[in-house]
Amino acid sequence: MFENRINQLRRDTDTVRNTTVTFEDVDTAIWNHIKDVIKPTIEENGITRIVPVMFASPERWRGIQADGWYRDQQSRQIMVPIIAISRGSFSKNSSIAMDKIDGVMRKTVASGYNTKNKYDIFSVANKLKPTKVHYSVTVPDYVVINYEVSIWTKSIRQMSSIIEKFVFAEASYWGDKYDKFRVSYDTIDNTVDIADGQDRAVRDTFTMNVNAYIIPKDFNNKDTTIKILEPAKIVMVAEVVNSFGEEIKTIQRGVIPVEFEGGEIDEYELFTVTDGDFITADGKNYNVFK
Amino acid sequence: MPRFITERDSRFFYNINNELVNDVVETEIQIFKTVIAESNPDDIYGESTTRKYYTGVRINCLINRADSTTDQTTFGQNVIQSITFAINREIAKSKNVYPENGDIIQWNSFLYEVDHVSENQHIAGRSDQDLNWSFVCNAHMTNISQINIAERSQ
Repeated sequence: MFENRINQLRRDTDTVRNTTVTFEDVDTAIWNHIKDVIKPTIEENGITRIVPVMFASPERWRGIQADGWYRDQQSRQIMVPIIAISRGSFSKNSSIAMDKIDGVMRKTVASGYNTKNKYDIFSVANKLKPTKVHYSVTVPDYVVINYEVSIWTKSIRQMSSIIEKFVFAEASYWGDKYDKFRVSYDTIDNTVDIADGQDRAVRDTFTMNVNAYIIPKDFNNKDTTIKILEPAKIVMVAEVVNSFGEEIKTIQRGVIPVEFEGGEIDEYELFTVTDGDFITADGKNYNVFK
Repeated sequence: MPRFITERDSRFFYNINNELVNDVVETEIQIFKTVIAESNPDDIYGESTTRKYYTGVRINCLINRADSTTDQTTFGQNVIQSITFAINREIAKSKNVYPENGDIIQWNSFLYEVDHVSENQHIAGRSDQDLNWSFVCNAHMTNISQINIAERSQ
């Protein structure tokens, strides 16, 4: 099977991030928003303490050894307050009906300046049009992801100060500069436990509905983000016909092969070439075609 | 005056007990009692984030501790341990300390909160004040974030 070489574009030197939105991106966006925007804190003895936010159920080595900072160094018990989030179920967002036609349906956006549009005499003399780089991204899947948020404090007053911030942040878009997702939640369950053999614990839990979208990195062995270059050649064609309407000569004028990697044409002039001629530039031969 | 368990017997028991606890076993604990007046006792929620304690009282007692276990929670592993401190009443009286529910006991660098104090060890089942022999404090392990007794590392 032959691969169209027009699709074989170098991507390792790109500064453009592939438009992929994975579950990890959504998790990270939600986690960062809680840490950096909501910033849950409590007041204790006149000191403002930042409430640590963690993903639920870490591995033992991580929870005990690496993240020992939220544990009592003597007893290795978990110190409170603390917030844990965990990703639960997810479902397709039926309010946004979308048929992607196996990834064929795409949205294409053009980048701004790119390094191939350097201003030089060659471009001016030949009236070259600045080229654009297009990125074609497949249409995402829209999903609703549920997150379970558990908050554990030692007192109702501390819990209230945390929950007030979460209530205020509800029904807004959470995330970082790359990805933002609409978050909503209805009911916040509150329990105060005081049982023999355990410390008094104030626990709140609620389920967040996050309206997100998912674009995997690749699908069916193809990247979901494809880079497309605009044609850099402008071919002016003059057709000469005889009185019977038969084509006798086709002349191509101003065929300037500028789209080659890293090359610059040192000598140039306005010229007229014909079909089948060769142009040599930067040590490479270019065949003029119709 | 009962024929058995006289005052002399009681004194004998105490001397034996005192020697055992203070000279042989010598397991020392420190009891922290709450300064109620300065711990916001009128709080609407019945809690205090500014709880204050009297200076700890060191006292010897008998300790019966269970192995520590772990509880898997959403927040990771948590350590659980229950423990019993048996304190002689006469020794506690000499130290001027009276353990109660909610007091904090420090032993072996760990902190324990007293869940329940049992005062049910009567010599010969007699209800005389002198023959009510001990405080048995059932407690559980707690940590410095739950109480206000030491600077937390976090």
